[in-house]
Amino acid sequence: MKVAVSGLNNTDNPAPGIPVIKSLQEKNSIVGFAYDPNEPGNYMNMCEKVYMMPYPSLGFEELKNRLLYVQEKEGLEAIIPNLDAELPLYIKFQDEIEAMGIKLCLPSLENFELRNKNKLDKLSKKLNMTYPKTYEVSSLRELEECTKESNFPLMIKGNYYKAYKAHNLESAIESFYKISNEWGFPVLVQEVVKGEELNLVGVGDGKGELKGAVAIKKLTTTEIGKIWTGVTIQNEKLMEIAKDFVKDTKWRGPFELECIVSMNNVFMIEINPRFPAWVYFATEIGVNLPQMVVDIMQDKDIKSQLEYPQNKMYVRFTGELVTDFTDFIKLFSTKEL
Amino acid sequence: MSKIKYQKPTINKIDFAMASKYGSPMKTQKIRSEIDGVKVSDLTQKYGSPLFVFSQRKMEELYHNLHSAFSSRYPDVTFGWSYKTNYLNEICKVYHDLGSIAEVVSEFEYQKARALGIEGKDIIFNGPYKPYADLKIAVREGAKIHVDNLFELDDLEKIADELNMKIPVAIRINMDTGIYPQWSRFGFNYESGEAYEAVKRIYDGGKVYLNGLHTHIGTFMLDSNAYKVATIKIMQLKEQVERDFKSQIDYIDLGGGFASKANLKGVYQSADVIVPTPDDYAEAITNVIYEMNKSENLPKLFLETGRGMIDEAGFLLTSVHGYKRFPDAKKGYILDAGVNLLYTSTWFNYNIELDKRYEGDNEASILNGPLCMNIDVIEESIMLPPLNRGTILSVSPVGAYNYTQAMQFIRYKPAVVLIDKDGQAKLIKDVDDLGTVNHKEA
Amino acid sequence: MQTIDQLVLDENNMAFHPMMGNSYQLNAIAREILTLAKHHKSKDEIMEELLEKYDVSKNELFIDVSDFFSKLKVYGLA
Repeated sequence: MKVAVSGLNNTDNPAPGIPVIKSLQEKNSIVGFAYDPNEPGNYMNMCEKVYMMPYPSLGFEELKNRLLYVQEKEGLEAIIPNLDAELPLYIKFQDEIEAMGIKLCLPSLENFELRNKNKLDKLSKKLNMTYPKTYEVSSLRELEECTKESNFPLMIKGNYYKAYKAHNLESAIESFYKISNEWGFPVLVQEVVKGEELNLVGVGDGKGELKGAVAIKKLTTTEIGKIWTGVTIQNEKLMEIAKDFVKDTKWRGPFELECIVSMNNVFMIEINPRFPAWVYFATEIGVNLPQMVVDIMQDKDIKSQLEYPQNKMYVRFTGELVTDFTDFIKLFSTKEL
Repeated sequence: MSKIKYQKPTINKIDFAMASKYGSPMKTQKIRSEIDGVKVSDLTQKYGSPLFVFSQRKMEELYHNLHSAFSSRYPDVTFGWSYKTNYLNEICKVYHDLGSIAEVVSEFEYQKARALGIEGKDIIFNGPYKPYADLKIAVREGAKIHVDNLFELDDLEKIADELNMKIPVAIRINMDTGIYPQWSRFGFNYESGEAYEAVKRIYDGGKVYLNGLHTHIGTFMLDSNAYKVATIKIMQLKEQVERDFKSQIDYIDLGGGFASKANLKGVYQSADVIVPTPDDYAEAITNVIYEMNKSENLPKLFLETGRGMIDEAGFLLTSVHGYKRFPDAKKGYILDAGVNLLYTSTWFNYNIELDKRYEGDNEASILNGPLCMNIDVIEESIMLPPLNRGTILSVSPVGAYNYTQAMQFIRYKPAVVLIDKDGQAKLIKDVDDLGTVNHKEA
Repeated sequence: MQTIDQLVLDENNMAFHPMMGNSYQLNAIAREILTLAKHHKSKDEIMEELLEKYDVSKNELFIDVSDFFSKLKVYGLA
């Protein structure tokens, strides 16, 4: 398959693109979708070709025109979009994109909305999980009120993205403004729950079956909160939740569950409708989730893979490369490389 | 020797962090050489520049999309054309011809609707300020009065005595629908019980009676669920009132506020993604009515959509008068239209289209209006190829509010053209002149 | 005009300033103007040459070339 992959940033704030490409490159040919000529993935020689893409904020018309252009030149067969900002557009217009002969493996709009944090409450109950006490606030007055009921620290979160921990009212207000300016209202205020933060990456086939999943614990994170080292874990309860989640929603495509797990409870914190940037960890230990996504796109019958070795450790490091400045200039001026 | 085709010289320093500053380097030139088959250059040549242009085709398409979303789900739906959104006579006529009644919020708008031949019974009279004399005319002519406050109720009771009649009224309710900001300054509050108290006050007085409930929860609503909440509250109040006062509420009016495909400033995702469809709105409202209706008859449903039915049908054509280079290297264009005509530029990023393809690299530009005022800026930062003097830009969507809120400030208010369904342009409002402005002056 | 002398112009209409590490994107006529400037032609001489060659009025060219040189100034190139 000729697959286009976005999210080629690979700095200390890595996007999932390069890990996804590393998982796919053996069996597929790869086209890179970049939003900035500075993205390191443009120069790592892992893509046959790199195209600059219009910002998602420009709307579907711009995306469609660009896809038509790339489609004509490359005969693209599939796209795996990996960035939060572009997912709403790809999910909402997946029928139109599929009609261009480009396969996608994404959740339905309804399922995408489900991860709207103010709906996670209901979903958590369905999955026998606990959802931390959460308030929806749309004004400073409401923000102040809920800080009287619940004690600091509190998480201040956007409805879809962004979360900041606040230890006092001032920092809560600052985060409230930061989030509402970018993502609008409501802003969520959530009690901080105690337990281990565990993450699970999985792929659903759209028919209710969890095709593959790997759970990890992040051991250390970098200064900006990205995983640095991690270890595989086996948590029956978390795996059951992932299975129920996929069964219940008929989730199609990749997802990441962020949970806080204590001895008795699993708290749902967030569902991301895409691969995390550490997805290559799963590939390395034998669960190639990006390849599963490509197989699901082709309606291939694949067997599910929920077993993986214990005690595997993940270590992220930075690398460097030297390329010709003319490549950058070419990508900058012609929008392709 | 024949000369070579000229192109303006451009040089752009590559800003390695440009992406974040100026928007996408991938942005393509957006071109609009015509509106409904009429060339923009012919329009400005014939009617002058700047020029507001409305597409009747698009207006009707938006009307039908929204109307069929509701009428396919609900048997008794009436749209009231929101005059304040755009009260040009020919624009109002288009919506009246399609079946809309009038929704007005002042004596001036009321008079405008009457002058267009709309009968009193087909006018919804809203708003926090209704002068006594005009309120009396509206009552006499059978208009649907939507009461905003207790003072207005006092006025109506006095009018009832004077006219020796019992006046049917609706009251406006404000409520919390989870939307920020909550519009709490119009009508009576639901959650505090103020609305119920007002109804009780109506029946205690005995001179007017209630036959409608109205709410209007906000503007540019991006969450259709808010309408669900609003409808639930209105239906609850309806049931309560009908039970406690043995009355019958004929109609509910859920106002307007439906969003258009305009791009709000400060919102990252495009309108494509975030604006609900007519079906989303219609479903949110009608499902609740069916679920909650306890009366024998379903209430009549009124809606007062303005923006959602016209915004995308309106364009402002403006021409490049000149340009200069600013100390931050941006190119500053001087246009013949500015914030005097584009009141909504404070909240929206417009779609700005060129009259033809221009050669040359995009450079960071700023679009300034013609006013001798530092704030007269339409776009702070936009990537544009080098334009010529006389280049015509189409600014859209500007169908809602921009004409009615356009100021006669520094320059005259411009002409307006409507392109009818056959693609014929006709002047529906001529450009003002000194006579217009001086008309009432000493 | 010393800074302009240091600019390296390439066939992709890019200009690179090796001393400062800055890059500039040009169009063909901008490249032509810079080439002439590197040959120490004055602004007036450059305009004269362009007027001879291109289908453009003197007034339009004057505005555009002046604008181009103002931008070079902003960039510290002139």
